[in-house]
Amino acid sequence: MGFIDISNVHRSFGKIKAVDNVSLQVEKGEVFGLLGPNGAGKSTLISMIATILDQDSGKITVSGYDTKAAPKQVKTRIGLVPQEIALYPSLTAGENLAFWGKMYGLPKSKLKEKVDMALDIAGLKERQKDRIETYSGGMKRRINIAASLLHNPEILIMDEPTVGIDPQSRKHILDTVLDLNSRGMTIVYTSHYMEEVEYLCQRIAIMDNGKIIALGEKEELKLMAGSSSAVAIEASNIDEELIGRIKSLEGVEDALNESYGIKVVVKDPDAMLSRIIEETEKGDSTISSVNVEKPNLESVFLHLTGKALRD
Amino acid sequence: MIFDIAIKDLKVVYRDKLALAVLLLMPAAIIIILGLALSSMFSNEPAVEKFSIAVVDNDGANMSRVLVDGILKENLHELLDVKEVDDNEADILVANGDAAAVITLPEGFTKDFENGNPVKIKIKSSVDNEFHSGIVESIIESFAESVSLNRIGTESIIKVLIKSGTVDMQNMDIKIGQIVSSIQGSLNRKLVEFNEDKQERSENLSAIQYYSATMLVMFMLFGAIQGSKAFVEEREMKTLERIIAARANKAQIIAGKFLGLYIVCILQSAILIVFTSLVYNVDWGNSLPGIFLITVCAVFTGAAFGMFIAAVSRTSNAADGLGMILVQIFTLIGGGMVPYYILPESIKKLAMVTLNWWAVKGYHDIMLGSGLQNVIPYCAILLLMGIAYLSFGTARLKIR
Ligand SMILES: Nc1ncnc2c1ncn2[C@@H]1O[C@H](COP(=O)(O)OP(=O)(O)O)[C@@H](O)[C@H]1O
Ligand SMILES: [Mg+2]
Repeated sequence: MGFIDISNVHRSFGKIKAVDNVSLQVEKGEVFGLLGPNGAGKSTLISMIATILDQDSGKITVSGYDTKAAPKQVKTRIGLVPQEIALYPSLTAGENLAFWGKMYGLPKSKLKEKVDMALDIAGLKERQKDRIETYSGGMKRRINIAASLLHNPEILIMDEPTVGIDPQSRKHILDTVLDLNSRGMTIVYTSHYMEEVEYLCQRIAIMDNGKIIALGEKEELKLMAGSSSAVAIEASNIDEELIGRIKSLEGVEDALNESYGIKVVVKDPDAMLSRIIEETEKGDSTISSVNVEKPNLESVFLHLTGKALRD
Repeated sequence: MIFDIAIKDLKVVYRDKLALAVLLLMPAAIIIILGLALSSMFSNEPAVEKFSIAVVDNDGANMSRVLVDGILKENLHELLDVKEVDDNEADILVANGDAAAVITLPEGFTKDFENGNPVKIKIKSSVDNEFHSGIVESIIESFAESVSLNRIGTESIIKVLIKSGTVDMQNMDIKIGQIVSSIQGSLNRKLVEFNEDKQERSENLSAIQYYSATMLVMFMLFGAIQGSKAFVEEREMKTLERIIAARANKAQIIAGKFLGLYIVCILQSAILIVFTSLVYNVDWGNSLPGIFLITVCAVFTGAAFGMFIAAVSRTSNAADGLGMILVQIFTLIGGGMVPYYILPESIKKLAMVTLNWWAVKGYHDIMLGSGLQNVIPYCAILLLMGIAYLSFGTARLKIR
């Protein structure tokens, strides 16, 4: 039985099966990745873990406590970082954190210490007296995370914590995740950015249309995609006819029309590269760059669903 | 936890300059503008416009002519348009509403009067003109008193008994002066009484008093709508969900938000009442407990109305739009823009479903000198409305 144990969980909104028979376990002390495109059902799943939404059927336990039967015990163990920046814009960072501390039931005597600690983690101590509305997107995200750490949760569940963020804040957040994890905190990291999940997580679940379509160690998953690589060709004048011709080349698994040019999925990029370039240049396309991407979670997703993780 | 949520909301409102403007600056400005612009529609004097009465003089002797010619026709000609008619014509005049009342002086009035026998003056009035017939009644009553005859008392609205005594007819001219001034005095008292009796009350309120109360209630409701908008916004921002994720339950969130809204609107009302009374010299009456009670109840209902709007609105814009429209309709039919005493009866009836009507009535009564007890019924109605709004709101409000 996992630290977080999810078995056969369903949740629908009307006709939409947002979470469709999901089972998975998160082990104590790991950074677990939940990867999936927008609308996959990630937020719905973690809302149920965090007891703010009831499942239609199935069972979820956190540290042995059933989310439906003992939500209080579950809540005290979980810090949920919502996908939205759930902070009060006209209050300062310090005021926001103090408010959330009170919401978590921290005693007055501990409040200041905890708020200071959270500000430290966010790296925004010197700006604590500024209103949230004056912060950049990245700084808001950092406070959004800090607000979920005030009560020393055993588990931190992060719902797309790096959306709309500058590289510096992104790095800060990823470092924070690893740092918290190294101090023993279990982390569930939800994202549609495969690079982040690949960087942070040992075990990963890939979700699509409410279902877990792949679950396992990072390296295991990559093997699932076979040894396929993606050849990204930056080129002008791409049309469906050209895509079709490339698709029909022997050894090519798939070809996709991307905004920058063509993405070609192949088993053996070294052998195929010259043929693909040749074919592309047959028409009036001009190639400006070629890039070979070795198997990653993106190609796993592509392999499993036939579509790109991000549109 | 509930308090922490409420206090957080107070802080948020305090930081919101636009909200503060709507809560405090706008009403302060609009009260003075309406108060000055419309002051001519209101008069501070307990004046009454001239109205018609019918007199049937079946006596036609000395005493009856003193009353009819000397007093009613001559001295009260600015108030009364006296038509002398016979019984039948009188009934028709009253029935058609062409006369507010008929005064009938019986045959032998003067003689009975001189002989010390009881005499009867009959007053017949149309039921829907209580105000004017009340004035007529009071004129006759004070006539009876002034001729210093032991008055037995008013039997009913219809008739006044005069027990006659001796009257020095030679000195009647001098007496008429006394009688008239006594009638004037009692007439004024009567008008004040009537004002307090809620009839044609606004005649006695200044424009700025009138609008201080109606605008106070309207802007308090605007404040409540800001609160409901904020509630739905918090749902959209997911802060409510985050509060649930932390610890609180739905009931605590609703209680906290309601309490916050209640405190904001109470402070707003208190500031506006103090401000208008100090800066605009608005007379809010003599009953501090009365003003306190009506404010506490009106704001309760207002804040409950805010929760109701939040419960029926999917988006914060919908809450804002629906709330603002309803508040303006309430204000309009509740006499907040056009004085209610010139609104048609049907609208006045409709207005009774609005909290504005009862709250404003309460404030106006107290401004006119009523005390705490007089507004208790209004407060009871307000509280009932508030409980209804709040229970519906609580049942329907969604956190996520
Ligand atoms: N409250 C809701 N009402 C109706 N549909 C919802 C609601 N929440 C989520 N959904 C739907 O459920 C699906 C999964 O949504 P979500 O869990 O937010 O996905 P993700 O977080 O992976 O982007 C989507 O199709 C979404 O439109
Ligand atoms: Mg989501």
